[in-house]
Amino acid sequence: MGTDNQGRAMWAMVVHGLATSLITVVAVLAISAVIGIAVGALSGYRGGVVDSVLMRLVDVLQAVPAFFLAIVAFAVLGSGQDKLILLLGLTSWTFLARIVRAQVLSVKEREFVRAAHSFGSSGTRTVFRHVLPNVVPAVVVILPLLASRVVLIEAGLAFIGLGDPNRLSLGYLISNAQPYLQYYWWMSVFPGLVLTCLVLGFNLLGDAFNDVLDRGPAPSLRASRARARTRIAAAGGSVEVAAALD
Amino acid sequence: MRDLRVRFPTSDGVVQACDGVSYDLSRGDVLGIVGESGSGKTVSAMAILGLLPASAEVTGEIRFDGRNLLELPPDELRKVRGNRIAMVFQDALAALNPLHRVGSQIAEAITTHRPAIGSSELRDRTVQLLADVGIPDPARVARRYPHELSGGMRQRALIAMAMANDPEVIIADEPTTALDVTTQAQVLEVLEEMRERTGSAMVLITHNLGVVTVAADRALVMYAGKVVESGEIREVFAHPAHPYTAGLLASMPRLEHEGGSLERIAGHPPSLMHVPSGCAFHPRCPRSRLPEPCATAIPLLRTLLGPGHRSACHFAEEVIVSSSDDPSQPTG
Repeated sequence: MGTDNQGRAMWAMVVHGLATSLITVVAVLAISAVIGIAVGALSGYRGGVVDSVLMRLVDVLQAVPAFFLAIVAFAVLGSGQDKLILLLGLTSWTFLARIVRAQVLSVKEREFVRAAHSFGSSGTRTVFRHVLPNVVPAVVVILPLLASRVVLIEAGLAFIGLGDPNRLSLGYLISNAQPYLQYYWWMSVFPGLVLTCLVLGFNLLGDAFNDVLDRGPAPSLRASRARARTRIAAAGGSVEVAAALD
Repeated sequence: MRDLRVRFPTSDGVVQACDGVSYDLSRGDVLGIVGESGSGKTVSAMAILGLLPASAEVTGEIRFDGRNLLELPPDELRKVRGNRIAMVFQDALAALNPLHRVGSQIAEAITTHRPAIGSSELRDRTVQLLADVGIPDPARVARRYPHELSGGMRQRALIAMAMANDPEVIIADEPTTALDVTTQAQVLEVLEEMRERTGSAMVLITHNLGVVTVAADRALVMYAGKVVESGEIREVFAHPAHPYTAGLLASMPRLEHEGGSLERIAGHPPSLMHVPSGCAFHPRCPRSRLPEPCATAIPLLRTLLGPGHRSACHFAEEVIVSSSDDPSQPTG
């Protein structure tokens, strides 16, 4: 892949940039999965006031675009990978919470949940053993989409100079290549290609999960709902992509 | 059960799903509750275990072992559910969690009430239960997922689950409806065997009169949320004292009737939001005398000649006489 303007190996830098992306994705997904599933399950299963309060909180958080929030936060606090992970983790769970809540609402009306109650199963036990396992498919389909969003936000921030100064990022590499576009094409093309493949890969992974889970033993409303939601999410995701790449 | 009333307030009005249902059930008794869809039979059973949605308004009294189940705190009710009163659902595929193995679901029903049970004892008990309900190779079936079993097998597994803690009362809600006819008979047999072995009482909810005749001692016929006739099964079927029961019996296919078409009850069951005035059955009743008294006075459930044979028809005596004259009715 050649070297950059200072003679550093592009290959090594792209690999490290990719590592940054992946570490960020895994950490952010872990945080948002835990919070999102907990809030979604509580909201959907309990309903009533709990549901209203939690969902209004989600509304408020979703109204703030993560990318701009990150710009403001990093401008004030200084940037860093740990801060980015925390910030994205604490804001992107809302997306997941909504989906989990909707799934829980439909799963809890299914007969085996009533059957579990009729056998004396307690609320907590019912949620963990009967409701949540049936929500997993929807979460699995959504997570890759969330991952591609995280990748783009991380790269976007690095591109405008708000990435972690101590770590290489694909966004930084692309931004660094700008003045040399005419002379050293490989400086921008290779990190760009890797970034594109990563995002495309996550999206295709989401589609593949969707197809596999669609063909499960009990194709039901659940699957078609998940599919509709994926489409909506993809549409929402592309808006975010546009924002991130501005 | 005394004077059970269940109302569902909706944005379009109040649905009176259950309107003053009363019955007794003693040890070893089998009570068959018969009625069309929407007659309130399932709702009355769900109310026993408090499984109705939170929006339901339930009044009346369901005494079990001296305690009113409707007033029991949730923790106490949970100790009754599945332990002393268990339920067999209609659709076993829907009632079993698709993600857990059959054996683990039965084991769960046991551990819910006996958390201290050892793992080898639990496994033995699970396999024994599956064997009891007539499942061949129970140890292997225990490791299967619900979708890998046939409908009859799943229903048996569900019965095994209900029997897991030797309940005193079994509520079977259309336990055979989702099955084909031969399997129906086998599953009924299994249910009856298990019930006899444990000496439990059973409430058998069905719209299939054949099922009731085979399995039940007493019958309760429901229409539009009310009990319209009750009594010994032979008595009720030999001498129906309510035109609705008579109509149901006449609409059953019988071997001795070759060819010809089946009798039917004209019209449709009423919406529970707009139950007809007076006797709810009067718009469909071949004997109704309008407007008085059928459309104006609500007939009360009253005792007739036979022991414990009760009917809620203004002209119950006439119905009994004419149904006994009708040679097409089964006798005894």
